[in-house]
Order: sequence, then C-alpha cells, then structure tokens
Amino acid sequence: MKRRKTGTGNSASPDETWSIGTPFARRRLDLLALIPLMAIIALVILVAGVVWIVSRNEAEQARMKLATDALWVEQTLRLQMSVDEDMLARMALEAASGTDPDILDSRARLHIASNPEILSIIWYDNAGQRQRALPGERAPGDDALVKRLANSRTRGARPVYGSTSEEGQATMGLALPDEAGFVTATVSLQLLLQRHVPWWIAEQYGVRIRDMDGKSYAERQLLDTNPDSPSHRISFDPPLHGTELMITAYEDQKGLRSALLFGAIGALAIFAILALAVLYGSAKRRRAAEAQLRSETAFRSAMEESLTVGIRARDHDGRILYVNSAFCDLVGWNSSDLIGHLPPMPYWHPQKTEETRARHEHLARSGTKAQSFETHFLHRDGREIDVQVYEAPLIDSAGIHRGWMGSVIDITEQKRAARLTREQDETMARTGRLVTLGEMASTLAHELNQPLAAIASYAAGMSNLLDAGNTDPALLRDATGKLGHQADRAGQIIRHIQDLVKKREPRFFETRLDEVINETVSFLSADARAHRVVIQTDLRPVSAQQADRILLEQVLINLIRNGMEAMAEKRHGDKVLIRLYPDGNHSMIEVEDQGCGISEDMAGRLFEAFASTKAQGMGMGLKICRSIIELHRGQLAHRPAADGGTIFLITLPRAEGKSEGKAWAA
Amino acid sequence: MGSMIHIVDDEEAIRDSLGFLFASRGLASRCWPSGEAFLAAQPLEDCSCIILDVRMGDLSGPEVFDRLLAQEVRAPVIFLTGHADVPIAVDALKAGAFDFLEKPFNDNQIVDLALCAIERFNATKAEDAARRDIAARLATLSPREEEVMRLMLTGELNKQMADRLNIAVRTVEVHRGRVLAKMGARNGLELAAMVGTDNK
Repeated sequence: MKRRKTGTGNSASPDETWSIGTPFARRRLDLLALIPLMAIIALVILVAGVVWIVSRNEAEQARMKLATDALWVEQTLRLQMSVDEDMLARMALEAASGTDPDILDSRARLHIASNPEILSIIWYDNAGQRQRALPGERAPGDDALVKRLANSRTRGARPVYGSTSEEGQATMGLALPDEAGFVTATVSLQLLLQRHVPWWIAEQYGVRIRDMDGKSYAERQLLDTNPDSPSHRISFDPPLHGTELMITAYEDQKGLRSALLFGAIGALAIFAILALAVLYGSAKRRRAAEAQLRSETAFRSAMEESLTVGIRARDHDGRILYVNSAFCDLVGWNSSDLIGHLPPMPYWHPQKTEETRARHEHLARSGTKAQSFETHFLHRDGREIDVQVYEAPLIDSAGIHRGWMGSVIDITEQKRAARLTREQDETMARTGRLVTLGEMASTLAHELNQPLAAIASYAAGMSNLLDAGNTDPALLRDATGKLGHQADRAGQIIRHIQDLVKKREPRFFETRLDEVINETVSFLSADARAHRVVIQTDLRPVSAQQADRILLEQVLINLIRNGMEAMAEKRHGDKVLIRLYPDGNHSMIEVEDQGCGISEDMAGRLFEAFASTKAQGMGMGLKICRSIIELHRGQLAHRPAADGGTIFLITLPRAEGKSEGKAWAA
Repeated sequence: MGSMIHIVDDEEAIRDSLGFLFASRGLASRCWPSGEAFLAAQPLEDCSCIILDVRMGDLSGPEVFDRLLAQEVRAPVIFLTGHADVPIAVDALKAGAFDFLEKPFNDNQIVDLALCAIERFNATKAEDAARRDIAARLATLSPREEEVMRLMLTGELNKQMADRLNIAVRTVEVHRGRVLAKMGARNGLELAAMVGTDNK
C-alpha cells in the first residue's frame, strides 16, 4: 500500500531508533543553562565592585569631612579660649589702670555668667597669695601656675597656661603690670566642650580633649565610640600643653549598611542561582518530558501511519477531527480535504446518505456504547468499497465524551470472495443437480451396455454354432442360461435407476416465478455466450405460488438448453426469449428459440422416452420436464414459433392447496 | 502355431460371452480380468490379437496400450468403447491401434475384425521373418563380396567390375559365385528381388 506523508509524519533520520524519553541534546542545553548563571555571577561582581567603589568614595569623603569638622571644632575652641584670654588680659589692664576692684569683680562675674566654662577668676598679690576669688573663696585655681609666674619674672601681655588638671581644668594666668599681682582664670574643658561644640557636631562625632597618652580630660559624645572608628586628632598645644583634640566619628551605619547591601546582593545572587537551579531542573524535566512526548508522538504517528486499518475521529456534530493515511488511501481523499468536513462526507455512498445519517443519530442517542456495522463507502474514483466500521466513543483525558472514533476496515475483497464462494456454491449445487441428471443418463448407458453387449455376443455365438451344425445341447443351454442372466441384470439396472430418481421428494414452497427465471438465466449466461445466444426476458408481475423451485429451474434449464442447441445447427436469429405472464388463474412461461424448429415426425413423439434428435441425447429431458410440470398440476406444450423456431409453453395453475409429494419421474 | 486372441476386460460377462463367440467361430481366446494381469503375463508367444476395454478399474485401456507399445508388443489391438468413450478410442487409433468397436457391437463384426487383424499380423510376422533371414545371410558376406554384390545389383558386367575393383575377371567370377551361394539365390535377378528394395 502507498503511504502518504502528512504534516505530522515522522521526519526522523532513518537510523534514529524509537528511544522513548531520551533527551538527545543534553550538552548544548547545559551550556545554554550556564549562560544565565554566568550572567548572574557577573552582575553580582559588578554590583559589588560598584558598591565597593562608592563606599570607598564615601569613606574618603567621610574622612575629609571628619578632618574639616575637626578643624572647625578646633577653631571654635581656640576662638573661645582666645575670647577668655582677651577677657583676662582686659581685666589685668583695667586693674592696672586703677579700676575699682568691685567693678572688676562684677565684670568678672558677668563674664563667668556668660561663659560658664570659666570656673573661677582669682586675684593674687605679688607674693602669690590669693586676694580675691570669684565666684567664691573656694573657687579652684592653680597656685602652681602663680608660683611659676612669680618666679619667672617674665611678664607678657598674653596669659600663660598652667598644666591641665586631672579634672580637666586648665588655668590661664597673667601677671598684672607694675608687679601688682596676678590674675588667673580657670577653665573647665568639659564645660568648654559642652557649651561650644555645637549639637550637629556632637550628633556625628565624639569630641574629646586628652593628653598624648590618651588620658581623657574632657569629652562630649552622645554615643559610644569604637577605637577602630575613624577619628581625627589635632594637637591642642598651644594653648594647652601636651593635649590634643580628638574627634571620632560614631560607629556609623555605613559599614552595616554596606554589609547589609552586600549581604542583600549576595542573598539575591544566591536566590537567583537557586531559582536558576530550580528553573534548570524544571526545564530539564520539561525537556525530558518534551523529548518523550515528541518521541511518543513520532512513534504514535508512525504507528498510525503504518496501520492498515483506517482511523477516523469525529465530534458530536460529525465534523472529522482526524484521519490516518490508511483511511485516506481507502477513500482516495486527502486528509486536508477531510479534516473539518461536516456531513455528508464525500465518501458516503449517495444512496446511503440517509441511512448513514440515521446511524450516526442512533449512535449519538445510544450513549457511549461501542458499535460495529458494515456499510459501503464510495472511493473518490467512483469505486464502491465494502467496509466494516467499529465505532467507539472518543473520551478525552478529562473523561468527557468528545465524539466517536471509527476503525474502518476494507472488506471489499472478503465480501467479493464470500460472494464468489456463495455464487460458486450455488452454481456447484445447480451444476451438481444437472450433472446428476446427465451422469444418470451416462451411467445408465454404460451399465446397460455391459449386459446388452454380452447378450448380443451370446446370441451371435449361438447362431454361429447352429449355422455350423453344432447343436450340442449342453453348450447351447449354458449359453442361453448366461444370456438370460445378463437380461435379468439389465432389468435390475433400470429398476435401480428408477429407485434413485424416486428418492428426490419434491418440496413445495411459496416461490416467485420471476426470481426463478432470473436465476436460471444468470446461471446459463456462460452457456449462452458459448452458444453465441442472447437470453432475453419479458417478465410481467405474477403473484408468488407454491412450487419446487429446484425442479422448475431444471425444467427451464432443460428448455433453454434445448433452444440454444437447436440454434447451434441452424438459426435465423440469436435470441432465446423467455416470457412470464398471468393468464386467468394460471401463470404462463414461454421459452422461444430461433432455431431449426421441430420436424413433424419428431413433434408427435416429442415427449416419449428415448426420443432425441441430438447426437448424444438420451431422449429423457422433455419427458422429465413434463413430469415435473405435471407434478405442479400444470401442462407443458409446444408450438412452432411464427418465424421458424419453437415455443415451449408451461402452464402453471395458481390454485390453492398443495400437490401431494408424489414421484415425478417417468 | 495357433492364433490366440487375448480379451482384457474387467466385466466378466463380456469376457465370457466374447470367448463363447470366438469359440463358436473356432477361434481360441484367453481372458484377462485386468490390464495389470495381462501386462504381468508378457511376453506371450501366442499373442496374435488383443481385445482391450477402454473403461476398466485401475488401468484404463489406452494406458495398457501405451505400456504394450513400450514393451514392443506388436500384436494388433482392438478397443471396445462405451457410449462416451469414442474420442479416447479415436486417439488410441491414431497411436497405432488396429480398430475400435462401440458397445454394444454388431455380434459377428468383432469376430471378422479379429480374423482380419490376425491375418494381417501373421503376414507381417512372415515378412519380418524373411527380412531377418536375408539380413542374417548378408551378415555372412566378406567386405569384398559385399562390394561385388553391390556392383552386381547395379547391373554391371564381370569385366566392368574387374576394371573398377582393379582385380582379375576370374576373381570377380569366384566372388560372384560365393555371393549367390551365401545368399541362396540362383542368379542375379533373384538376388536383386531379395535384397534390392531395402539394401541399397
């Protein structure tokens, strides 16, 4: 059978095997899967680099800002210190100019009040004894500084600082002019910081003043600082000997922030990789499933293509959903012509359209029951095909009944074979019946020949003996005895054949004569061709009647054969005409030939036994025919046809009541 | 040597009645119930005519005939045929059978036919015997005598023969005498009658 390639057909290379579920491009797809992974890694590195660079810039900026702020704080503090120094120097000048001590004191108080970092202002005499002390007598001072001032004898216009005390107090002193004594002011570094470091600095940095060894004198910081935190140190000497200003950025969130950022990036990267891995896994599964599906689809379509059974799926409206190539070959239409086609289908037999439609409706009503039936399809080239169709419900994976799946098998050949066999059987049966008649005649002849030949020989032998004058009674008696025995045997043979013939009991059934005639004619068609004779029929409706069909067929065969054989010798036409017509209470059958006719000599003894014009005829045929017709209570007659042939006329009464089953043989 | 007619038929009545018929005309006959039995009995010295039935049980008449031909049995064969066997008998006739008769046959016709067959067979047999005799005598001639005989048959004179064979006329005369003596002929004319037709 020719196999059609369809769009869904297998296009695999010939050496590819049907390995279900083998992904055949694993390497290539793995490389593809690596690309996003690498992209993620590159992105993470890039982002990390950018973050690192940005944070490094930030750190740089922060350090710069720290330094700037530190310088600013230093300037502020130095300014304040110099303001205090100026105040002290002015007081010293005013004292020297003879200003009333009370006024000085009140000024000093005012200054202390407005500059709270100044703890005290103390007046000493030239000997270094305290004369007055503000704000109170017990105000802290630095007597050591005064002694040093007194001893040094160096008098400057600017105050001199003493060493910074444990409590963070620094004292500045100035000798009054004209050796009138000394004046000191003690400054609390702590208060200095408290008061003159603004809040926005304090918010960001811890500010402290400490000595070189790291001992802190004063500090202002709102939060704890870490030794590792970025800090800036500026020497605060002068004015304060051995001190430095240290400004430390608080443990800021920048590190934490970038750590968080990096962490987030890392986490995201890990998440992305994990997601990728999951995706890859699922993609791999999907690929495997796809490969399996593809392979299964290819396998399935290959199977469908190689099926010799036609497959056709249709939905409830009858629309064709699918046909395989065997079906296409069967009906001669392409799958593209058929798929989507609504009934009536092009391959339906025009005479069976309604029947097919009705069957489809019946199928739809009968629910989901598989059914099988035989029908005819029409091939595209007009050929009629016998098919066996098995219809099964088409149920999808959700269990919904979608339509019908039909397997169609071409049974034309089987049907034809069966029909041929049946016809052959029928022919055989009929031929058998005829052969039986013919053989009976032949057997009769052969069997009878033996005793007859023997009888003739004995008779001739005895004549010879008598002619020769040999009249030995013993010899003659022996011969006559044998002769008589052979005569007996001939008689037995005849009786035996009569017995055989009698065994066939006629069987009467309701029979349609036109059917009998048609069957006989078709049975004799080959014979007719051999005789170059055309058998024509002219059948008018005649009601069915009781008859033995087989016996009637034999009569007809006999008569038609006689007609054909009569035309073999001499003819004026090539037709044997059979007529059937009703005549009152009778059915009439005429068999007319266009042969040589019947001689007058023959016509008289036509129905006698052993009367034959044929070389090999037994002269039994017409006698038997008449017996059969008489058995049907009818008559067999003949008359010359108008133009030279012969017409045999069968008259069959259509009376009620059956004939008795009596022997018909002659 | 008397003539013997062999009747081969599986029908006992036919065999018996034919035997009776032949006997009534003074002819000896022998009956065989089947072709096999008849073939098994070959060769038969006294076989001068064979009556064969066409239709027999195992081995049909024509088959028996074929085997007889294969065994070089030359006796004439007369077939007996039934109603429908005529074509078969005609074929057998073409293959060399003597004649056929359709059953039931005209009583004495078969006897006359058999007599005719026997006569012809005997004549053929005598002819065969004479031919065999001449052949035997020819075989006794020497090559030179055969040469001389061939020349004698062409009608040459002794002198011509001597010239042709390059021998003396006397020698030719001696050979000539021996040829005639060996062949049992009185003169050249008899010799020619004896050998002339088939020994050129």
